[in-house]
Amino acid sequence: MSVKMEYKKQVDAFCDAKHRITAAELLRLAEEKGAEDKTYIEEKGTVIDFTEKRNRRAAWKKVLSAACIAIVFSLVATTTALAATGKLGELFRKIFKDETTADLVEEGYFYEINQTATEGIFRVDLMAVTGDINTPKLVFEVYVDDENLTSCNDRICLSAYTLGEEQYENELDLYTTFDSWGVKDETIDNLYHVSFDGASAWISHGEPVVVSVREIRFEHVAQPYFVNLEYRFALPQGGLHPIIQEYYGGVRLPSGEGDYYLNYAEFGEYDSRCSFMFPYDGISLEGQYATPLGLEALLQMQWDSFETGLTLVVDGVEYGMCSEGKCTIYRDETGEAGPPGWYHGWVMFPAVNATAAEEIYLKQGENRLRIK
Amino acid sequence: MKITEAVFLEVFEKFKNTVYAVAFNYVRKADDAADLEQDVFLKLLRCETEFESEDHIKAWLIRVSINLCKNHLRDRSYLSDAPLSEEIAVAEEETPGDLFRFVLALPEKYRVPLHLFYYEDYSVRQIAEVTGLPEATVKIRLKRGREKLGKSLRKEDWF
Repeated sequence: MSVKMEYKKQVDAFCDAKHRITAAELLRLAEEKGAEDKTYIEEKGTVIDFTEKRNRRAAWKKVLSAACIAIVFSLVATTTALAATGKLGELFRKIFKDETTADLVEEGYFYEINQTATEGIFRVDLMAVTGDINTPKLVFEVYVDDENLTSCNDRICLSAYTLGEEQYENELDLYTTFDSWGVKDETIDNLYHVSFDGASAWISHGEPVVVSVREIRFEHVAQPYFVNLEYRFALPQGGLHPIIQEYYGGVRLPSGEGDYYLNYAEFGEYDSRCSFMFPYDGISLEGQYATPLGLEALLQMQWDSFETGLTLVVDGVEYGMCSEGKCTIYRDETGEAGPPGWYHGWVMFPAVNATAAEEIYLKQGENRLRIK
Repeated sequence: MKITEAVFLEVFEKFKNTVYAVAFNYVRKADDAADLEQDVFLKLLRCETEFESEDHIKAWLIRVSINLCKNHLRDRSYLSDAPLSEEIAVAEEETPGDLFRFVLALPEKYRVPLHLFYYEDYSVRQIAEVTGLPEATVKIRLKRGREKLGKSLRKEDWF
């Protein structure tokens, strides 16, 4: 038996033995909890729905956040004009070994934030955001006031949320923090530089963004330091490099698993992405797929087969999908992204020069779909 | 797909071990893991998200489990990387198998990605998505975690 199989067997045996609660008990608990909430609400002489409760929670949190913002802004220092002096590009080229971002900085695609927050032994400056619309990179400087730590740790890791203000205030539990490692400055012993991959979904022009650093870890220290350092900004127009986005609105690409329709393609500085949509009508569910969740499983299996066989061909050079793992398909009920009720999925390829390319097409087996 | 009672019953049966195992991997205490499992499923029952697929629900459950575990550890200032408690080996009525125990003995940064890789069959990208780690970091942690696990298994004549 393989290690994987044996591990699954042991975990299942352990979990099965440990389970005490059942689905029925959870439903009862949820009902009781709902009743408790209702009683509380009635005692207070008002009726509020879930949305309003979230707003109440948000209002309470905003009071706290306002206090935090006041603290953060009182701590804002006029930090070194890192980007303006050209140091930002140098930082990406020499320290982060990231030529793509260094080039973008030198082309002027960055926005200086220069906010400082401190807690305990840490002073963490959010210096700037750069990159492209699909791959924003936040630049942090971390000062650590502890010689014992800095003397034996060349690398440091920040764990942080990057969210829209609404999501940060009301739905934090639904999201997770992201991690990025940084390195020690070549000359200043207690300074680390971190290039942090921000969440592109929330960093868009004009929208308020909250960055919240929650953990700081050192390379050779097992236990993380828990902090709560917040930064707020809104990205101005032109702060990040644009991407080339071409809409196709549903050009058919047949495959062995059925027809998929190209919705749009995006060509960024770091990767290329192709978004497809497909209908599901007329599929009869049998055997293992004849369950409420069976349709999703079947469509996902067909999609997996489709995406792994897809290649992007640019002027004769073939590129396979660049990310390991699968894209999870999703169903668009609103019809905002395509026909209502259709499923969507995307495939990621390496970055290519779409502007300079003479010919670009997608290949699936014998089928080709020219997109430029 | 909304979480109706029928969907919940199916989802609970299918993913109860997924949630409990993730929680136990983080906190390594049976009672705490059971409490966290309960919290996760109660959140699911009250969740108004329109789920796109079964995988979406599973990813949501894992992500929320991880978040609640992190909050739990943060609140308790609990050392998730402390040496494996004797409680697991002695006081628990049902003890983990040797292989599970070897994984539990690894530092958190290795054992959680390893667990998702071995138990959930998650790819590097999926692990990166639910843990919020860059893919390169996940790859390194899986590699080093497997190396450390291999050493433990060789010592115990697994290989």
